[in-house]
Amino acid sequence: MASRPTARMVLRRRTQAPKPVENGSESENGSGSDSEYDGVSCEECGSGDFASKLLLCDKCDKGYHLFCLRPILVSVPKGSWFCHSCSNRHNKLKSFPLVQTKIVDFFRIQRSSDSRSKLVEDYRKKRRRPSSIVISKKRRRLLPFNPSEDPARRLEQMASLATALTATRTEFSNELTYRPGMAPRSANRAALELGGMQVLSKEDNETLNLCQSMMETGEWPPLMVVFDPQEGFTVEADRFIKDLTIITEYVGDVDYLKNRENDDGDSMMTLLSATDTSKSLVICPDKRSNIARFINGINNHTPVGRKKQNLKCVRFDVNGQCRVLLIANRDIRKGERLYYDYNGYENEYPTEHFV
Amino acid sequence: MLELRLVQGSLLKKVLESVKDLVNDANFDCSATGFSLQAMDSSHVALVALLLRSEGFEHYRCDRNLSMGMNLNNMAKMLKCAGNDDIVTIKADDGGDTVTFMFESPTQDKIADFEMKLMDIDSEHLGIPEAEFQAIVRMPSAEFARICKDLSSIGDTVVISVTKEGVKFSTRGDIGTANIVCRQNTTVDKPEDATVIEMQEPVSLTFALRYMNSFTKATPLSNQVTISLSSELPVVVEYKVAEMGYIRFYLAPKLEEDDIENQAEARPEVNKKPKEEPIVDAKPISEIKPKLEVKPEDESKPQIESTTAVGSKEEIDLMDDE
Repeated sequence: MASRPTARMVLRRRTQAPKPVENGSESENGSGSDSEYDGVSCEECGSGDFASKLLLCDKCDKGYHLFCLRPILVSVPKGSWFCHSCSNRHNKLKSFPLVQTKIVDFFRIQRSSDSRSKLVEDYRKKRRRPSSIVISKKRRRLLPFNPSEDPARRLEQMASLATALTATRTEFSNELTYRPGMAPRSANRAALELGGMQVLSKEDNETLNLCQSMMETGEWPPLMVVFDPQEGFTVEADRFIKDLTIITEYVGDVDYLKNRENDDGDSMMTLLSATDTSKSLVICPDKRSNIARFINGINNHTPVGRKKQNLKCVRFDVNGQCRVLLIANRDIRKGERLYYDYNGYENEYPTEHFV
Repeated sequence: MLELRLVQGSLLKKVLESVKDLVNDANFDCSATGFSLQAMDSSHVALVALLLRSEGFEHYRCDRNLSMGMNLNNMAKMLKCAGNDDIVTIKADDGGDTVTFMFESPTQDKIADFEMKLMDIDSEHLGIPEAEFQAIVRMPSAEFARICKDLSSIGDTVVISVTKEGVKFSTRGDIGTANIVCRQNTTVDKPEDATVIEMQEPVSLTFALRYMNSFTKATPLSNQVTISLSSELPVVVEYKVAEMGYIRFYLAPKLEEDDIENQAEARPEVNKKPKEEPIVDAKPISEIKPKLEVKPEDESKPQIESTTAVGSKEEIDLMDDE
């Protein structure tokens, strides 16, 4: 009686109470402390409806609907719950209105022709009116990741992944697996891709092979899996990662899209989008996977969300097979969380509730 | 055959100290004009350009244009072994794969030579156009270094604004804000303590302080620093190297997103492989979507990043135990 009721308990009372907006005074439960909670409405949507789903923060007593929270909670948590502002967030990613540009955005590479000097003129013109510069297309090579130098740190990284995999009851696998009952290896042919798939160049192929052999010798990509109270499991860079570094490959069981139509798993990744949809393949990391499944997606519906993206997810034709690689699309500082766009162009993955 | 003899060896020592933390490996280019270096830091946000003119060397012999790739940390280690008064000679053979640094004490009774392996560095030279700057500030280098250091204890970006009042350096951070204004001041005893501001137009730009603090490592090279600013262009922080040349640091500004987008959109790098971006397909395939719409609450599970699903699963498990 003297102690504050937990969020859950209050909620139970709430379900018995009629809508607070209309008749707060009619609350069945006589205890005086209860009346403080009537008339509470959700901080996000402002309504007091769905009282049974209105969760109260154990610290500040503000109310939030389960479905107004981000991430959405399915049910009232057992034990105490703290709202966004009260919980200790160590990952407060502020949106930076200013973006750091690079020197190459202003100075062009000097080697050759007139086209370059023309770009220099464009650069000067830019100062008079804010028009865009045509940046020349220099093909940049993919880079292999740089594992952490301290072997103890690498072990910690591997342990963090192991914890996450155990928690999600997933086995570790670092390559695409073809299980009986799902798609066979022969079904993974990049030639079937609608519109064709870009081929991984020879140099980049060697880089990919280098990454794989590094993983086999325990030289892990410098990534740490952390658990965030808001986002769940997420992946952070454990050391500086350069632009265009291959972070990891997205792996799992390969299955036909048609077999998984009723699957409500949320981590399936398109592997092959064939002209004949019955041949389309997806990667399902629910049973077997690696660190890639823990990397979070951006919220496509807010301008802030897009800025968080620091990886891109790319499919390549590697020796005739489709493979999905996660590649850094800008320099990533140590400690930065990794995000990529779940929605390449189909915009089918509903991300509006994402962080 | 390359042979450069520099009487004031300390200059080279100071130059290396100022650059080695910004750039790890770089190509030193020797030509008839002089000994130069142009390199970007690993994040490609800052660029350093060094020039030591051939006239500044006591002896300058450069038969062919030569590009020597060196690890600047290693070079700095070797140069640290030179005394401040030593005469430094750099020697290399055409087509060779090493460079030799020779240090002679001024009294000629101690001679040290250090040989270092050269590296193969694939670097591209950036064309830096001669530009008119909207504002040029010349101030004592120690003062600038102090300002950058002080501001970095408050925030991590500095806004440099030049107006007719003077030049203002501002920052903000968790603990509060800071503003430092330096006014034009030519009435000083020594010309090197003067602060001179030439402003064509007022300009205000934002930069990351950590790079500025790297640049100020070159303070021992010169009493004065020249900061040249133009709207939406990299700032140039220049330290003159006594009658020999200069070391210039270029730092890309932090711009508003709209300006970036203008640039980013033009970047074919991003758009050029049209398959790259579209390849990332939605994770739940379209067939699943209608299912989600029907049950708005269940929607939450698959929508959240897979891992949060774990979180909520765990919660549910606990609930079930009840």
